[in-house]
Amino acid sequence: MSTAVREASPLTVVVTPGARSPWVRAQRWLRQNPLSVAGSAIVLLLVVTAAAAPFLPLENPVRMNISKRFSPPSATNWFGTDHLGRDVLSRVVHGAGFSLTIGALTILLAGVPGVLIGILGASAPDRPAALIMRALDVLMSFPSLLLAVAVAAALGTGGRSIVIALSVVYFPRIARMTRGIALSVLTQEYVVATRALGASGWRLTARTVLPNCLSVVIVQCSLYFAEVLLAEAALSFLGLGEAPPRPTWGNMLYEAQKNMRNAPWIAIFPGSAIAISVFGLNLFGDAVRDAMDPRLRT
Amino acid sequence: MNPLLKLILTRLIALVPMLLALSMASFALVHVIPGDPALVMLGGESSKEAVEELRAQLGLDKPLPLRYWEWLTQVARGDLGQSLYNKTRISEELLWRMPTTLALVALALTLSVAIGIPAGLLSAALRNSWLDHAARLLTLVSLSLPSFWLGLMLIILFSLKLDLLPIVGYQPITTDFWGGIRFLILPSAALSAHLTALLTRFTRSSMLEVLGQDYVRTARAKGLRSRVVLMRHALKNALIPIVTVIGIHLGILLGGSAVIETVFVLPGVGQLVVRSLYNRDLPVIQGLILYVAVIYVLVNLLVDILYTHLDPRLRPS
Repeated sequence: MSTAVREASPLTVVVTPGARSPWVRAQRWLRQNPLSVAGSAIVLLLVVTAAAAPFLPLENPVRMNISKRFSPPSATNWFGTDHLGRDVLSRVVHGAGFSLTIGALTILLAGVPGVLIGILGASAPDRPAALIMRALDVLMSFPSLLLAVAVAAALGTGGRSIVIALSVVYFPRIARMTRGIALSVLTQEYVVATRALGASGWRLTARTVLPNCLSVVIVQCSLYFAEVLLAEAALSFLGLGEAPPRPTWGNMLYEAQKNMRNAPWIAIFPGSAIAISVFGLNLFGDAVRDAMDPRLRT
Repeated sequence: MNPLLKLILTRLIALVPMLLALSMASFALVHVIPGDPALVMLGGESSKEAVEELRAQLGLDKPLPLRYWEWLTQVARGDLGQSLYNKTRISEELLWRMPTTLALVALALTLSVAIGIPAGLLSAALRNSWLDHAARLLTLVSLSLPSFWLGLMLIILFSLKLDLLPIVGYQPITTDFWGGIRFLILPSAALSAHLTALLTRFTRSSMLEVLGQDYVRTARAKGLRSRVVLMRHALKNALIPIVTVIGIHLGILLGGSAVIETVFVLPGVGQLVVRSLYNRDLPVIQGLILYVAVIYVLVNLLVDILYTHLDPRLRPS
């Protein structure tokens, strides 16, 4: 019985081109999706930089050197120094870890309840499901950045409150997206087949619907990750993030704003780091989504 | 009864529980803030009696449901209460700040529509040309820029280096329209970047979908010029869902305006939100969050009704 069910349900919606060796498939994928390769390269570079930051031959990101303050980019300080004489390159590199951690924690904290509620919203009986979705609508009626600002301010400044604030903003969005995907999975023939084989509602949801949603959901989450990075930067920029001296891209921009006239490089480099990271994640997410499901192509 | 009127009525009735839920959410949001606003207002060194007195004066000693009820009835009369920080009436302050934010959001929306829709149209009409690729890349780049950082970069480029536009500051457009607009060009450009990119993307995919429809093929087959097919047959239909997209993403502009107003020091509603957060000005935050959310919900209701009106297939019969 259980093997029959398993055979009746193809486990992914990914269109895999032929059953070749993984190496051949990877090569073909690379050739067909140059953009996703560029995106993955950027994301990989970001992760490696963040992890390797303490081991790189960089100046101490928090050591002040007032005599060197506001030096423009040069051979010794590639990205220049800030208002306290700290090396901007070192601060940008060390800030990567913070942004990635915040992003990852937020996606996790918003994603797990979001996916569960989304699946529930799709497979629960009509009335309770409608009630759940209406409650999410209420949360989504607040402009996302304003809601995040309000929650973060309520909890006090710091990384922890940013993660919670952004989770509150993103979990209804992830839930609604998951519900949409789950509803389309529910119309598939293999679901009908599983049901015909006598699978219970729970079994159907947990063993067939959920796994078939997950690949699409995870890719969409990489796009949300990009959004979270932007939102985190905005909150830190408003002064709600991690307090200085610890470098984060957002609080570097917060500090840079006051000295923009004479030292624009302090603002240019951390912002570029955000933009490039978000660009990489968007590129990657878009390309993989297009490859997986041509119907979602934008 | 006129079916459209009936639709509007039912939607309006459905709005009531939504608004109630919104008010509860904004009330709850503010009352999970740890810390005593009375203590914050008086400063750390005040006596216990003074704090207690102020708590009583602010009504913080009353039970939560009663406070919610009092606040709700007050809000329903159009009175958002008083700021703890500078004692101004919130509704009055909102009234003089609103034109700035509206002007900013309206200008940003105009920019997004004026650039995004033609760009998406061209991108779809010339699919897979270099123009299409360039537009898609630009869209992706634009979606990756933090709007406040784009604002800072625009200030560096246009105000500090090229000296073309004023750096920060504001002149109400109600007193000097063109003078005020000069101050709004950079902020609205920065604010509109995301929505422009989204509209370009959506217009492109919506057009591509419509261009694959039978009636477009029929129009082409009967020998109409491609411009006529594109503009009259395809665009007209492709635009319908775009109305909804604009409504949904209005939140980007409303929320983004808080950050942009901070960057450009514009005396708008968003700036007030941010300032109130620093001052822990609870009544202001509570009122503003609710206010913005209600605007957003009302606009989307309007969009929904407009959408039903524009698309005859959805019209109630």
